[in-house]
Amino acid sequence: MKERAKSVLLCLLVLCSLILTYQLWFGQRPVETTAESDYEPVYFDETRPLSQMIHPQRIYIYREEKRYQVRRGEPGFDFFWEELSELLQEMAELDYYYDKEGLLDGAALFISMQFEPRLPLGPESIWLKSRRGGQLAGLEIWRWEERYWAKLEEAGGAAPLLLLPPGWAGRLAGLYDRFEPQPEQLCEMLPAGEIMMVRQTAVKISEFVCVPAAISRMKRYSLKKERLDEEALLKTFFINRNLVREIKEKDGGLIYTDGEQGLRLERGLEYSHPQPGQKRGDLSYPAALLKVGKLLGYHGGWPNSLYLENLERQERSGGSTEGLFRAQWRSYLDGFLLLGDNGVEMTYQHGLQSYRRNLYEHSQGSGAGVKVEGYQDALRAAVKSLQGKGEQQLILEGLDLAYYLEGTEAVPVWVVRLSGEVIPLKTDKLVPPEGWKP
Amino acid sequence: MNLSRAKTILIFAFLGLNLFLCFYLFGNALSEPLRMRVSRKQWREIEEQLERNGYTLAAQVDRSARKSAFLTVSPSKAPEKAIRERFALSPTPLTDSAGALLFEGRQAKLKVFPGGLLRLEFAPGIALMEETAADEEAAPAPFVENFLREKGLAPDEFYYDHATTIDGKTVLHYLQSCEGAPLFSGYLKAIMENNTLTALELSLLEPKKPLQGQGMEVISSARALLRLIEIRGASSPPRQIVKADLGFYSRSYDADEWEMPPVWRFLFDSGESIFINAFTGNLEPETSN
Repeated sequence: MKERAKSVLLCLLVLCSLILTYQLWFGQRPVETTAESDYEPVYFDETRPLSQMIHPQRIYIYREEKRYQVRRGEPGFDFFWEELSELLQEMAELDYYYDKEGLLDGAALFISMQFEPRLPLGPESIWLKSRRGGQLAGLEIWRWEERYWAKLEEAGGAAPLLLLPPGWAGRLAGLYDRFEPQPEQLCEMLPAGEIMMVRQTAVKISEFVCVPAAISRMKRYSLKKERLDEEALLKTFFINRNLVREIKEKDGGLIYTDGEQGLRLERGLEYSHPQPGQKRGDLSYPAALLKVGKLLGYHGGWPNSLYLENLERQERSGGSTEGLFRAQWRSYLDGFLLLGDNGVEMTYQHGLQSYRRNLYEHSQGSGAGVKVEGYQDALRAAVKSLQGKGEQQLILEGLDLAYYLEGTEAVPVWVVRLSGEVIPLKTDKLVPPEGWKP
Repeated sequence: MNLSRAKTILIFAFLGLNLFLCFYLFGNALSEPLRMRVSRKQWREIEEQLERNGYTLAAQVDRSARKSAFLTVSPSKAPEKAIRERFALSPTPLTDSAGALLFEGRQAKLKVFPGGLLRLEFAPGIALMEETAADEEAAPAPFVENFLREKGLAPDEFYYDHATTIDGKTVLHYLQSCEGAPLFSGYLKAIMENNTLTALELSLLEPKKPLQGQGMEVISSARALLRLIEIRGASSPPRQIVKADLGFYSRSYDADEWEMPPVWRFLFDSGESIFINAFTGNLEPETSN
């Protein structure tokens, strides 16, 4: 009996040791004792080089006394900008190129472009590195036979004229030959002066208003909201994902927070971090450009249709502007600005302080063409909409075509800028789009 | 060697092997509750540091190593219905400018805030006790609890925490608990004036997911006290910490559900509470309920 009990006990112990060994080998893991940080550097896009962060707001090309506008996103836009950007990068010592004699009689304007935000110059930038600093607001290329000049319009008001080296003449001639004007690129310069509109309201045309003159139809697009990988997005903001808690709002929004910073996902994303960093000190304009560009790439990416629209210093509560920048990006559709509730806004102060991103992508297929009424009719309708304010003289600051976001539809609109007011009007019916508030 | 002896030797050998394997596999888990994160000497140093900064610790503090996880909660709708029935309040509410719903009755009116907080006001107040009995802040507690039980307004999860008196008003604070841990965002406040119950404030939460045994290790009470000094700085005049508990807290949201982090709650003699996030060591906003 005793021997039998011993045998049973031994069998049990052997069985038990087998189970425990199995557990040790395959099963139970050691108990976690600390909050494991699962930090891994996650980002959506690599940081863009400075040369791809700023683009001209508009490029005009002149041929046979006609003016053509190459819009952002159009095939030739990047090509022209890359060539001229290279020119500005290669001009290291400007003293060699200054032309004190001025333009020769008969010289004609070939290309002009405006920059908003401005192009940074100087040692921290990649353009005109020999300059001490400054910003470029515009650039004009003039030609006379084989000679080419560049006129730099600096933010301070100076406009030095540079005679370009012969090596560049060939490249610029190639640019000229390569450009094939399209009828819809044709622009009309409005003559300076006053136009009398309905009920004795005068519209004064400011110095430089160029309107698209040959676009009779525009497509209407159906768009879909940008979808970002939420888990990856969270990891770009929160170093330790384990410490992030989730709040499901009644309106369907999701908030993620670790107590210091918060991310809300509903219509796009909204992020805020009231005290992003302890570092102090100011940032130069080129350094701020690089910072905001890097942050945009990291936190959601920088789509090709998105362009930096504005980068400016902001005033803090104490009146100082040190280290506080606000950046704004807008989307373009077929070369036209997409207005309405979309875009990206960012505030930077020693770190990412706030970030709002609400972007749309092309969905499958484009809609039918919509009629585009003439700009004169659009201007008349805009003036009429302002007549309730009783202004007798209005100043026309801009008149262009764009898209406006109505729900998830992009509808073509005329955008009339009159005396500080921006009035979008649907191109066919010349009425404000749905959702627009003055 | 005979077989019996061989069996005995093998039994002892396997017993030893099994003990070793058990210790290796389960040793950490078994010793966990006994593990002290802060030694007696370190604790004395913390107390000295607190005193140097004008804080006196007059509370029992858990010094063991603890683990916790986020607790998912949602606001409970049950008390609102019960209160409306008990006090025969109007079925159709009015809405105030802040979006709160107002139900009115003869004896009481109920305000339902968007975040789920209920405020029940009695007009006139309900006399619960003789004047002479009010010699201590906590003295009305049994009377209030009796009243709440009678009216069916005393959920089992609530327990008495502390009382404060400001401008002649005594407020009894009850806290909700979940699996033995206090939920500082789930609370019941009974507001007394001249021994009369004038209002009740109730925020009842429904914990959605049971707490899991295996969470992340939280910062020790000692570390939380040091963070308190860092965040609040030295105190003058000196203040007394009367309670130090590990529980769950977050500000309330107008949301369907949210996750609450574990926090160290330090209650001062003034009635003010400070919540230190037990994962990050940061101050949780809205320091007092």
